[in-house]
Amino acid sequence: MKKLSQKQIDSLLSDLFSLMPELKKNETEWREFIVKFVESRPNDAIDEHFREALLAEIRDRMRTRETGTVKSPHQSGWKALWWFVGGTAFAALAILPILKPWEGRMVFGPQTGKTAEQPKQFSAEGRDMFMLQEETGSPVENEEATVVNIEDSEDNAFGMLEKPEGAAASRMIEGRGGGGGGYGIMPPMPGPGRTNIDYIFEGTLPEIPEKVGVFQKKQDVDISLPLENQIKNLTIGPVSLRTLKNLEIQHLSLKENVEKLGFMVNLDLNRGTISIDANHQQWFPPCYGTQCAEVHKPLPMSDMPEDKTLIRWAEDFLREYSVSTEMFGDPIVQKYWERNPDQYIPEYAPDIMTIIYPYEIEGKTPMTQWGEPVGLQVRVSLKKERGAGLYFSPLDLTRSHYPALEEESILSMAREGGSDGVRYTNPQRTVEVTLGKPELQLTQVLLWDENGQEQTEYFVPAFVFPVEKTEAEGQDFYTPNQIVVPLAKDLFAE
Amino acid sequence: MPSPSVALGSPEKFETLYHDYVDKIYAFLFHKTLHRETAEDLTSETFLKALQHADSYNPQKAKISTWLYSIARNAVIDFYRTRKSHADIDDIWDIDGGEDATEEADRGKNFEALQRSMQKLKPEQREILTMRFWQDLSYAEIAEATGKSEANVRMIISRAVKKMKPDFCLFLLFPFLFLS
Repeated sequence: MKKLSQKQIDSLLSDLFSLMPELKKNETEWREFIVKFVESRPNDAIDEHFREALLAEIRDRMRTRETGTVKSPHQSGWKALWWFVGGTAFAALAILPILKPWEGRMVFGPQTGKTAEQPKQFSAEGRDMFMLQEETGSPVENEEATVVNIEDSEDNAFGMLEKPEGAAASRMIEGRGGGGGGYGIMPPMPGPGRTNIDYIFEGTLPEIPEKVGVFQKKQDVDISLPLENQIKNLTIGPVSLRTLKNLEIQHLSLKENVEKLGFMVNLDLNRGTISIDANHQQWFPPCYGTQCAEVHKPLPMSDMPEDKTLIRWAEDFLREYSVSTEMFGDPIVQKYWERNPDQYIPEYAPDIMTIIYPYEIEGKTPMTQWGEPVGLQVRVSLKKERGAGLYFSPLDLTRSHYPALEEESILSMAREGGSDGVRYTNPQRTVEVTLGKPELQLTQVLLWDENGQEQTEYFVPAFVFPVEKTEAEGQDFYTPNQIVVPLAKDLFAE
Repeated sequence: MPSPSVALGSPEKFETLYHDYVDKIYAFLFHKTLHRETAEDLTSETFLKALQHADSYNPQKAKISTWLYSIARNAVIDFYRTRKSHADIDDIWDIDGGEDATEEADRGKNFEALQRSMQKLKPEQREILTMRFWQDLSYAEIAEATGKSEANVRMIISRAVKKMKPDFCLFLLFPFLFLS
């Protein structure tokens, strides 16, 4: 049985009390607890025979490798490449054909040109989302590039994904107002005059798996750039950055140095995102008087090009910058006014329209809580009739399996308006609305930490029930288009 | 950037890695499985996989211990995934103890109390707690192994002990309450 020295116990206690001073008043209890805990340690000493046998096996395999009998798949081809690492995703940097931020030009892949030398990864997990290559003089194709990286974790690895303090209570409201989610799926609200809406599904649910995979988006990317050291040693006039401690590059802004219609590039190295935007100085130079009115004249909605035209502009833009869309689904033109048939159609078209090339996670398109697909966003300018930028936030995910909800719970949750439906505790009336057959989708769920400081993004398998519109005369309540019920049992523990 | 092969790939360096970490990785795996043979199998798998992928290890991306522990962690996950009887657990703490748990533990009621109270914790909390209290790893070492910051590790440990202590102490005082 392992015994702890007084010094070790003191050290453990000291750590504990420094973090939670309120525990110090029960120091004796805590001391006892730590001693008992440590004494409970099972006999985990390694067997010496096993240790030697495994070492012999390793030596044997190393000899085999040296004689070339077994060749690692990662042994060649990476010499000319540097790879940025950090578990993030930057395949979209491929869109920058050439940058010159520091000594030596860099070429980013994937591109559709021919490969001079196959890019090589040496990240531990075999990820291939962000790479940096020395210039080879021709575009680089990176067939292994990924835009969605999934790392498996243990079951229930994210713990109970509890609602923030008070959120559970907000589902039941006393009178008008109140409620609302704000952290997750858009809440179906109750009707006026304290009307509760029961969403009824009477059909047969699709088959429910025993467990569902929940995907958590990794928060910290933490990419370090090769130029970081040079920047840290930079001196401008009397100011030297060397005097500052532990500098990190968080954002990087670049500008295309061209005569007209150039782009600005913004990299967020903490989140691993890239945004390319029209350089407004060049795209929309300052104007005066009547000329200005003409330049900024809004386009009537009737002039909105067809989807296929918008998509063609996006495709041309992507082709021009060698951005491969092979790893994404078919493009979807984002038209918020078409999401809900009751929505007011604006009189004028937006200057910029967004086309989304959705991600695919295990064959499914992840959707935001507003029912939009998540993926590579390409912006097109209706006035310039061409691509005007893009935004890419790669998905670096950890997957953990959770038990799935049972049918009864699913129907009950659907009845109340989904996981985040809001209801009156003292309704004056209750009306019923029928739900159609649900589809299984991956739905984005955003949860704040207990301090409300950091938000974590999840993609959760969910049944999405279409709300069948009622034609009731004098209907005075609003219903959403769909009711979403996430299937992970512990997702909304209350 | 140093070549990965320089960082890890030479036989001497890999042997050094083995000697430095084999005890720690074995203990880590034993605490997750509470079964001697399984922990040995998984230890073998961890080091053989590490050897196989030595060329792909990138010291700029992760410290060697982070990389090695992540291989070990994945080995445990794969192990339970491939065994249908345990397909829905993350490690042995969620079921009625490993086959070697009681005899290896040699701790009688202490261990049982501990096991019951540890079940309340998240797998990550259990992992970090055993690394600190049983494997004697420093906060810095745990931070490296788990890829977390030291401050985060301290916070996780403090929260975990606070969460499990009431049950643990209750059982130690009144073990008959928990007899099944």
